Amino acid sequence: MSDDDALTDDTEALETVELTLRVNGKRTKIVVPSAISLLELLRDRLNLRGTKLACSRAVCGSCTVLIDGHPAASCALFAFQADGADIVTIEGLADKDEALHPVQDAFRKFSAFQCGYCTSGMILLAKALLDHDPAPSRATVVEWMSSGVCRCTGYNLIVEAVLSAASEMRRTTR
Amino acid sequence: MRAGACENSLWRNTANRGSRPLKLVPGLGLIATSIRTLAPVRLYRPSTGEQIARILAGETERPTLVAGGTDLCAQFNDGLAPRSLVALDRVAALQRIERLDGEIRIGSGVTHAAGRSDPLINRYLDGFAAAWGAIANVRVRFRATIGGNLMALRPRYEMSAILDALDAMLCFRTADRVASLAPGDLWNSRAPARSFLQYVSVPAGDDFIGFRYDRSLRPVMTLAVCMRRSGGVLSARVVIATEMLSPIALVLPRGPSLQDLKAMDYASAAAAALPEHYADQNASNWYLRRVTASLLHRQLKDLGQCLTTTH
Repeated sequence: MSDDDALTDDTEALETVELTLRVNGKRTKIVVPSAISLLELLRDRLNLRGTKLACSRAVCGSCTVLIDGHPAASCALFAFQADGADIVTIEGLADKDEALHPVQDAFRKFSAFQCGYCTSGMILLAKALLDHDPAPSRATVVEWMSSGVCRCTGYNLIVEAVLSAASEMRRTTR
Repeated sequence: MRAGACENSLWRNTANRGSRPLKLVPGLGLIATSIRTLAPVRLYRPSTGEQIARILAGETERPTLVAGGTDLCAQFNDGLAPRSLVALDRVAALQRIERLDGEIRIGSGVTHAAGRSDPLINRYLDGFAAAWGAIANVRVRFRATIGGNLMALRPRYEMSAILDALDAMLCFRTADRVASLAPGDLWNSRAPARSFLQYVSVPAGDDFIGFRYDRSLRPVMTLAVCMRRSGGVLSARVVIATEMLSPIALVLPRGPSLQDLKAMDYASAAAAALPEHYADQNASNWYLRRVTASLLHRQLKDLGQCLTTTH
């Protein structure tokens, strides 16, 4: 692989970094320390507390947000890695009239949560799946949702809720 | 306490409450170190490979390279405390997949999700895309990269075994030279000083027949096999790995070629070539040989069908 691009000043070290992001549809420009995590940016700087911190190593999924439509563990990403990206957190899911997203509604109907700590991550994971595959099989739902950890529900209600949301979303977009 | 730790948020929060500050000692502290407890770092955001090489050559202490970053958080938990970071996400060349001279070159910054769906890989390396798309979980696949998977040097990460079976070579670059290593060499000799992994090169010429990867017994073991035909002679490169042990290629003694043996006989011979010392707390050497023979038999039969339908 060749690098024929001209050299620029990109070899300069930065202590802080200016980021331009779109968070829940709103364009945001912010200067942060270089080593701040995306989770800290969202929770501590932008006051979006629906994104939860648990394992701190990209395993449990409670910190999941959507970056350009794909699920990502915000605890394990530096904020600068999301520069220029379109980010959706749980706060950005309900519409302007605060009507719940179909996935949120299905989680409510099926009581697919107990303590609720994993729920924002699970819901965003499910939204990404249904955006990617509007008619997933049960096996696909299980495979996809298995990247989130829930210690309360035993997962069955979560899987049922996602399948129900998929069906509802297909019905309403028909 | 490591220099600069007073800048971390836990220290700040404690200090703000006026109570006695907590002392964070990596590995001995109240909590594991993480991004949240990192001291301030210098960040580089190069846009070419040449710039990366120049930064690596210029820093006295080796900077930490950040591609997807998904393994880095585990390394922070293990005590890694970098003074400087080099973000690789702006280097377009590292995210490229191209076909050159019968090889598929995969930039080290290609994510698992991008590799899984790449048309060149799907067209020229039957079975590789499916294997690549099965590793890790959904959330990780969109961020984690082939380079990060290899350079983390964790036996349970699967790309090293996969690429070893595919006869891939890893191309490292420094400010003044380029060096190639086989995936297995990563475990024995370190990559050249002040280098970075530029791309992975996988032979994808007319000799390639197919690749299969079985991870159904993971974490006990995984098995990768690549079948090729050169000068009319069939050959299979078989690599196994476990959760705890780095991958090992099963080298058969010279003798009857693959086409002279039944799949079961070949699988048994390959399994018998597993060195006696290769075992861990999850599986004995005897067990690994048994399952290697069984899984390899299945894969060779599958590749045999591929052989009759495509050649």
